[in-house]
Amino acid sequence: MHVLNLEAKTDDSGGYRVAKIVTHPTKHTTEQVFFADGEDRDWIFNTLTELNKQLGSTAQVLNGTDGTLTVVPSNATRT
Amino acid sequence: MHHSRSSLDPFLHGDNYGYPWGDTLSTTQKLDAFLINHEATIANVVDANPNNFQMEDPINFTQTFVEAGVDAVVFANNHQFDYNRSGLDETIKQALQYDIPAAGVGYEDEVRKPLLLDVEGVPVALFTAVLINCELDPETGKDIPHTCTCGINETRAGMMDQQCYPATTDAKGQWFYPDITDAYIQDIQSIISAFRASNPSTFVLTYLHVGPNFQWSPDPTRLALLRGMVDAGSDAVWGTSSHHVQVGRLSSSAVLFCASANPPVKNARSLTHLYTGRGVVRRRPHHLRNGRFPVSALPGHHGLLPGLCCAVRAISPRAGRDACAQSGSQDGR
Repeated sequence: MHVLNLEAKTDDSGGYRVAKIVTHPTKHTTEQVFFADGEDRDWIFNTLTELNKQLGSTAQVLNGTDGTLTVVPSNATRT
Repeated sequence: MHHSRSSLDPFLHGDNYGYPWGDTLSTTQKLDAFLINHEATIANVVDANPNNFQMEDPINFTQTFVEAGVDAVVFANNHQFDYNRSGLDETIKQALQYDIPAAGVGYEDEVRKPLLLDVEGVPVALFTAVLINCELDPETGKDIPHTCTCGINETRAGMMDQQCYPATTDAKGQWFYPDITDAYIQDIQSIISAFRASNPSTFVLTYLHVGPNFQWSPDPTRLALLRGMVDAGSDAVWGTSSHHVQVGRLSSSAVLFCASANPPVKNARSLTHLYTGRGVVRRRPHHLRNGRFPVSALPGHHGLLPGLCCAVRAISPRAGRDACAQSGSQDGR
């Protein structure tokens, strides 16, 4: 599950842009979906990070303490 | 034949329609908008062969969407025709019964129009399209069938020839392209750019069911498609169908989330490379089974949990800061 956080553009064009993506990695059993944790979540983090490296590191994947992974442009810092 | 069922037990545990969402429920219910790609039918038929690739959720499955706070359901994927056109009609009927907007299937004049949503005052336009994209076998140069985003030449009993069909004036279908070509990219762009020109303040979210499936990295053709959507005015591109984790790309102007599928984690991790160096991974038989409700508990029915979810949280910069400050959270949760 991925949350797109939008914010109003600050230029004169109007509209909104994606400020960041907060992902909530999940895992499935045969009946339910749960938030991933432990090594499952670590696996997703490592996979996203390695894939990003292969494609030029256009994004940063930040590992949060609340179970989320945050994806931001590579030249951005978490605010 | 309509067969009634008083509840979704045993797998929904009586009337607890939040059950399939597990511990994610409290999060989904708080989102400003919760959009899902539902890659199954709600066809309301007894499946003669529950072990093939016909996906079906129980007849009252839509109530789980209500419980989770789903704001829109997308049917632009390769499983809406699993139970023929009558199954598609029933699925749409079931999806709409609780007034949850649906996108992705309809007649020709409907599917190219965006679904318009108001997300806490932010106008959002959701375009939904389906394209066939297959990985090529490096030795033969031919498509690898199980990597295609929409199956073709289906021969199994009870199934239609294809998994995806274009919408026409008299038959429901999808905004569908049988390949990724420059001409098709430009055709999609013309629709999005025209909308963008007349709606400059709308957040344009373009959903593409385009994979690539079971590949770790999108091929250049597919990236050209995704970038083309941004060039046409999309603020975000929502890629689906991959069945496993793929990378996201962000810039100051737009976001590409190539394929944000929620894979059955342990199986995704166990996938092994089939073609070394090509990024194609092998799908093992248990891969899909793991995502289904237990067939044994649901005679005649099986389906996938909503395999991919996308949520949009619209915030003003100030509101976002305030929310973060109040919650102590870094991300405004």
